[in-house]
Amino acid sequence: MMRILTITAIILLIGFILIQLYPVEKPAFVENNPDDLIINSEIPANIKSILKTSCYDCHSNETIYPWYSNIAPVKWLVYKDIIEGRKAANFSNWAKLSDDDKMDLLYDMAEEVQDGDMPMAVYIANHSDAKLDSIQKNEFSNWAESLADEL
Amino acid sequence: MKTLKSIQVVIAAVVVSIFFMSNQKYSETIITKISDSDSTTFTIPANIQTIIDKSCVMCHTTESKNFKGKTKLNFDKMINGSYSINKIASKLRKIDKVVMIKKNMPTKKFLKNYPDKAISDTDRKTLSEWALNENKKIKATQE
Repeated sequence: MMRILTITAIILLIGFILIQLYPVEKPAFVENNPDDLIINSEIPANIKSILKTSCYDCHSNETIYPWYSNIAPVKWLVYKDIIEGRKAANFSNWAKLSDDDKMDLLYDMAEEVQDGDMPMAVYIANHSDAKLDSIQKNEFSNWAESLADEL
Repeated sequence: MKTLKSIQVVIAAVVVSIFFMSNQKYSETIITKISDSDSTTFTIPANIQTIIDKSCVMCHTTESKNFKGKTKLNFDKMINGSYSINKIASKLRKIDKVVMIKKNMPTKKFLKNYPDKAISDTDRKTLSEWALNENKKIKATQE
């Protein structure tokens, strides 16, 4: 019995080490983003802090990776979400977008945050400070809508 | 016996409300003045209304039970002045995107439940061309 357990543990350990070798590309961290939304717009402090703590890990080049996010198999899921997040909306490239694209994103943001679709549940589960209460959701949505209306 | 009767009442109510929901119509051409400052109008001609009534209104009006659907696009708000000009323009672009480019509207789930509300390829094209054209009209007034 003891032997079976030991062998299983060894196999699992070897498997765990082996999957670490499987190459996946890590979405790059870029420190200087001259086209960034926050740099290029006048944004109220409360909204700035929501953007930074609840959005920027997946929707900018300034991703802060927690230690566990670099270990397989977690990293496969985390990297995939970040790649998809940046593709859908990357605030580091804000100034390069057309007004139409900015508008479309801002209205989407307002709706998705209001509905609780963003930030994603799996992200909130691991980043409790990213969770938005109903007041923050309203503030954020109103800000995004009015910025889009003014474009 | 009493429970049976109340179940019958509930079923009747559901059937009646489904009947009314599916018959909801914008009966006339809608021309909405979208800004007080200029004479920009946003028009839904009769042929477009027919398509919208058939394949879109069940989720995209204020009375809809589909919360997500009506948050994303609410035709009532689009025509009654609740949406800003930019929001109308953005929603028109979205209509083209989901109806013509991605073709993910109406959703598969919706069409499974209401196969009679399917949208033909011709209607997709008509709807999308209308949306892009209205969008262009709005942009022209903003320049």
